[in-house]
Amino acid sequence: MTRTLADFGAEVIRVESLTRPDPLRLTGPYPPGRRSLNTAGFFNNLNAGKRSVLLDLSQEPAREIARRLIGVSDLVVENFRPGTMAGWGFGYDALQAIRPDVILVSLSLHGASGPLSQVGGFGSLIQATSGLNQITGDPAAPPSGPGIHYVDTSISPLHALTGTLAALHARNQSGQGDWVDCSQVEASVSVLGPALEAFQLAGIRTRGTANRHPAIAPHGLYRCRRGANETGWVALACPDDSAWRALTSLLHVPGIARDPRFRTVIGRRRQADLLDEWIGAWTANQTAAEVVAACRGRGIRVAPVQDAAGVAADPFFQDYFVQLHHPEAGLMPYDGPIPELSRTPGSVASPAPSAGQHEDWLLSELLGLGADARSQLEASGALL
Amino acid sequence: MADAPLAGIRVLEIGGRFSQYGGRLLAALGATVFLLEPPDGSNLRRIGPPATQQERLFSLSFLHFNSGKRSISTKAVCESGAALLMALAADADIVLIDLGAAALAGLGQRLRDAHPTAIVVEVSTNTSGTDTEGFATDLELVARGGLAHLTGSPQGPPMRPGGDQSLHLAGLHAAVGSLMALLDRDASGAGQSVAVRALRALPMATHTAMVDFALTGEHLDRQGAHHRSPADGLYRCQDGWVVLASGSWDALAAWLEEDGAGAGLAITSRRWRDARRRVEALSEIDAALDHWLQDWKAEELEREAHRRRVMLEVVRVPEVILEDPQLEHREFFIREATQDIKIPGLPVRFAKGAPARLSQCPGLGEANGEEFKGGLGVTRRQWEALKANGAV
Repeated sequence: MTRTLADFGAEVIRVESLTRPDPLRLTGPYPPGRRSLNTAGFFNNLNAGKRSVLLDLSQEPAREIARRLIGVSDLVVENFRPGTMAGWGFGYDALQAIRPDVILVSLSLHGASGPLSQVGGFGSLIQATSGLNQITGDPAAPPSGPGIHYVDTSISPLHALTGTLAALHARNQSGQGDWVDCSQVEASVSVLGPALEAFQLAGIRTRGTANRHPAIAPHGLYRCRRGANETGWVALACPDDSAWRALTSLLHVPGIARDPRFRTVIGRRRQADLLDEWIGAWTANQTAAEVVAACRGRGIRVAPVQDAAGVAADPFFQDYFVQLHHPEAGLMPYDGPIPELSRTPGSVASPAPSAGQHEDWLLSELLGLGADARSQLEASGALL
Repeated sequence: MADAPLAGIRVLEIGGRFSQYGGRLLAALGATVFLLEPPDGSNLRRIGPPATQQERLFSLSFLHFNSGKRSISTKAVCESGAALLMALAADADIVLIDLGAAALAGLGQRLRDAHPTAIVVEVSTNTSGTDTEGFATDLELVARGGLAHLTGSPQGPPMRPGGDQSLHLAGLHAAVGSLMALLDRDASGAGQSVAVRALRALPMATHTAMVDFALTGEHLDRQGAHHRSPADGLYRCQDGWVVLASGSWDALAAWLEEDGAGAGLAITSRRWRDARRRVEALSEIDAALDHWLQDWKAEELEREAHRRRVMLEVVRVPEVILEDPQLEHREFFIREATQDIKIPGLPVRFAKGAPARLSQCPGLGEANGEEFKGGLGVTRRQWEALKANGAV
């Protein structure tokens, strides 16, 4: 969430600790032979463009620094278990006393209130408890859900960001700050599609449909011959009858174009197993690129199933990833901004900070502390 | 309590599948969102799954993505109605467009030219630079963007995540872009154009996959129910499934020891606190866990895990979530007025601002009356003139 704010020009200052480092600084992937707190690739991607200072918030002198920092900040963003900030004296009321128009943004698993507010967790746990696992995949298979903590880098932070930006706008109108309390589980429940509505109104118990679709047929992922930077699978769907007729001209199945069984989407859904067999036979001898080329301009929706290598080589994404050199981690592609604004475009201004990289800047430039004050802070252990 | 954060903001949505969640979020945040539909209704109303009301079919997808908006039905969404569209946009703060490249080419720029203070957000699924892309599917976006490759079991095909995730992602980025531009306008008074290319939202959603490949050359593949380390992933219990996360290993190990589980592994020993050692003994530790979990039912397992601060959650089906006590406490669900059902509200609470508690799936053209005329830059005289010309 704060990465996007940095992309669009906000000065984002991470308050970090060496005694309890951000777990993502301790988690790979790392560039080969360069494993340290400052070279973790996932952390670096998520924290490009930010600044880092180290404060031991268990020490009162450090908390005083934090209070001064809050005093010059529009937003305070935290992702701790609810109550942690209050324990340090940084609950919303206390923050308001420091800066009346501050906006506190709190992200937690279940939100800051309620019987489960003290339960912690992240991606895979959120997807499980929110229902996302059960509506994904083959219903006969274990409900493992969308791959790889999907909601952590997308659904949760994006919902929190919309609330944060709205609060900033409201402050521009009223002069008042706010406390924006975001629940990651609620965010994930919000993106189940119409599953909750379907149960209440039509008794439908939504489960995974493998790659079938209730209103589009054929619709699936089909094995194909593996070309360069390909995974050996291709996505294909006929969103209307016209696309279906176009596909029949490619499949070389005698009589298929006139077979009344397939004339409507309802008919094609009933015969989905048979259609999948014919389409699979057709794609099996072609690469995904060849299938895409054959379908182009016919209204058939088709795309290669890509892994990271395919995405990295895909011309569509060439202006999306930004190559930046990190002094310790080296060169790495960073995700770029997604909304493209004409007047105030976003950009990835700098690689991620090393831990505590901006201590001098914080103390001297931002807070205007002289040498004596700095020495006292260092002696107190407040600075890590 | 103060107004909702976007109170007073007017949004004109010329909508499609990939913008509609963005419009819904803006409405939930307090904006008045007018959904512009043709006289016979948006195609979004014909997307399944369907439900029946008074013997008429309606779209559950439309209800999910468009509750909270107001509907204006007009021929404005075609060349003959362009004059009305320009008039409607005159007082809109944000114009949110998803029409496909072939329809009304250049509409966004014409709106910006006519209304320099408007924020014009165009969501597109155009991926190959051609002018006629037609009707994009969630399937192709999650396939090409890398998310399908990571979903499903290692031995099976890739899978499309449920819930039409690319539609939600595109809408989220449209809302973010709209609000970023709104903040700039608060300061500068100037509008701007915002482009959201839906496919660009996918790589970030693949978590570490792109970075893994860039730094190590590793191609992350589907894991399904496979565990890369013990106590981390999907496990079967007596009556269902649970997900464990290894970040709470100490608490889990203490629990196992209390229960006499651990099958001679000395499960609380220092050795197992090292994650790398646990990975080396993956099959032994997982065997002990699998055996222990068979004695537990899912709900009681989760209750005890929460008490002990072990990171464990039950894999739930959507219908039980409607009665979840945590969501009830936070009043997450709001009432949809036309069907009297619970629908998700905003997953964000404000101490000061007050999001709406009642929402409504818009009836076709229900805002065509006085409210619309006053709400979106069209006077009664203009309305009558446009009506006489057949634009409405």
